[in-house]
Amino acid sequence: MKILLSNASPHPIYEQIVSQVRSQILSGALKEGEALPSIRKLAQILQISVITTKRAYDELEREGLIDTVGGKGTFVASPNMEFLREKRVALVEAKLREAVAEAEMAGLAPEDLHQMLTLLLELEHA
Amino acid sequence: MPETLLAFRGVTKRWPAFQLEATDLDLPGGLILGLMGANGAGKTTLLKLLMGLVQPDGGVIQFKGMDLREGGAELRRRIAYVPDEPRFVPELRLRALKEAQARFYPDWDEARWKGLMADFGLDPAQKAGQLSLGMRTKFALSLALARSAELLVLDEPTTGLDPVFRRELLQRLSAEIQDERRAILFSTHITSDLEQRVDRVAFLRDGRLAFCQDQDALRDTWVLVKGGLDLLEPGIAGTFRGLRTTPFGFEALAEDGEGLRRRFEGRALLERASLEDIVVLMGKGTAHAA
Amino acid sequence: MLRSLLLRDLALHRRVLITAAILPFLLLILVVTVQGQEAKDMATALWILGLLVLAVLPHSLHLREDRLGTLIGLLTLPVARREVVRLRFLEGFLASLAFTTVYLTAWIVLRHPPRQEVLELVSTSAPLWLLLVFMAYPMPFVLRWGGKGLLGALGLLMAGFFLYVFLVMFGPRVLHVTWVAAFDGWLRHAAFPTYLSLGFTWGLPLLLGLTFYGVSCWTLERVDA
Repeated sequence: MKILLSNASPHPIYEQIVSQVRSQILSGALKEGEALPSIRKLAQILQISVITTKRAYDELEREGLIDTVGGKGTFVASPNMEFLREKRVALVEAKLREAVAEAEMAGLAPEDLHQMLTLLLELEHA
Repeated sequence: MPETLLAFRGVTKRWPAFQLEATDLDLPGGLILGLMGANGAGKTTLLKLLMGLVQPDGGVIQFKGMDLREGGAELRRRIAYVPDEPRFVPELRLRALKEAQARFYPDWDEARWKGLMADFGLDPAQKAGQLSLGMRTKFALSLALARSAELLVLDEPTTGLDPVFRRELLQRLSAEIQDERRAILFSTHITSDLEQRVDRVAFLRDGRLAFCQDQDALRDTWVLVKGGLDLLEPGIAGTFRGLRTTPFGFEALAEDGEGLRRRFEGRALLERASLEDIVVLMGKGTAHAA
Repeated sequence: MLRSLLLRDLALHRRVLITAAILPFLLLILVVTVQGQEAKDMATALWILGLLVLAVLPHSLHLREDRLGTLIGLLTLPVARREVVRLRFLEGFLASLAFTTVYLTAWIVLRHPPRQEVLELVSTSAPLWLLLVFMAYPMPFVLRWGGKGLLGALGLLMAGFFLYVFLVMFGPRVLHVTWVAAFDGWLRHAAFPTYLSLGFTWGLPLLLGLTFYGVSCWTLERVDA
């Protein structure tokens, strides 16, 4: 597991932990059944509040990415593909929404945006 | 939620020159509570009330639900205290001073004390009179950490210490409370000490508790707003805290980050407030309409 | 707990205590130099002087802790404040007792005084009165106001003494004859118990001492350090 926290980031610390652990689970860098440090241990290592690490773990658990087994610890959950797919779609949608907002600010017409997306997709698949 | 280890309920102390107003505090097991405030805000008084050094004029202080005034002496066995600028009999060696104190605690761990002394670079054969303020604090810390007290109360434990040791100390403290039965309460006026591992922040201003909140929630709640003076309409300025204006713009704390983002639509800069921002700007008090 | 407190003081105030322990030997040197008829009076006077110094030993220990800033350490120990007061009283008693034992033993060994003289000295309640006046009575003042408290308490004592002397010399005859005379009698009899019942000379200072002990506890329990 690799976590890098930034105080300069606009995202709260717990969000930074959630997104980094999530992407490592989704990318397969963290495998199913792998143990994560305890809430307190993680807080000590990262030198952040236990409340923050607890919040991050709670969020990851809600997303079905990790499981806490009472008395044993916290482990990467067996992925629920349906759920993960939904999450990913939602993520793409959010990013696109951001791009649309940026495009509007830059004064791009909708056609220009469509064209740009098509071009990018072609490049990706080429 | 772990059990509440320490609770202040309406604790009041009145002196001719200073008052600590009805103070409520909660410290659950497993957490570190940082007590912030300028010099003279009442941090030391609050901790002395907890240790029974100062008698309250009102309110109760509870340790695990027991009144500290009634069971004080016995309960103090389970509390370790490092006073602000600790002092010792100068002509005595540290070993002798330790000996005099260790006798009172059945859970005294001699090996642990020796380890701490070595870690802190202190020699038991040294005389207390030869120690600098920072070294005296380290020695007091060694005495406090060498037993497994359930509550650690540290009054400005970082004064006189260099930044490297300060950081190490915080790591050591967070290692101390790997189980939920113990908690730490420490006071400091240095925000960077708290920025890190501290779970809950209490902020005293002129003897009044301005807030006592989880650091996480605190930093979620407050955003730092910066913008041009044209944005400062009377209605909005009233919701700001610690407003500071310059000829080029303003800076303030605000609670409703999302609302402001929509309202200002990119015309203002909204940042996550650091603890330092919160404490400095809150210390200025409520903003007056510009 | 009291034992731990005593051991703590033995370590922390080693210097003061060693100085105090030398006292009987210093005084004995003086005793040995006086020969003849005055020898007994000298022995008594120096014994009283030694006791006087030791009666304020608890105060000097407490004031020393105050000055060195270790009082905070003492009061945050897992010990009730009542115990701290008990410690101070005990220190006064133990020091006086130890001093008396060493001093009188040495006096007997060195000078072989008549049996009657020794008995007279041992059976007087004067040391108790000394402890009452110089240790127990100023204690609440010391605990509350520190060094200033001690000076104030002793000043008050002096004022009382001068008032007494004034009343004896110039007071109305009635006063003189009744309670002043009675008070005068107490003091005299305290030093020479053969004239008055032991219960009175020993019981009264003990009772007053207990009262001051109670007041001391009440005071320390309300002091802010």
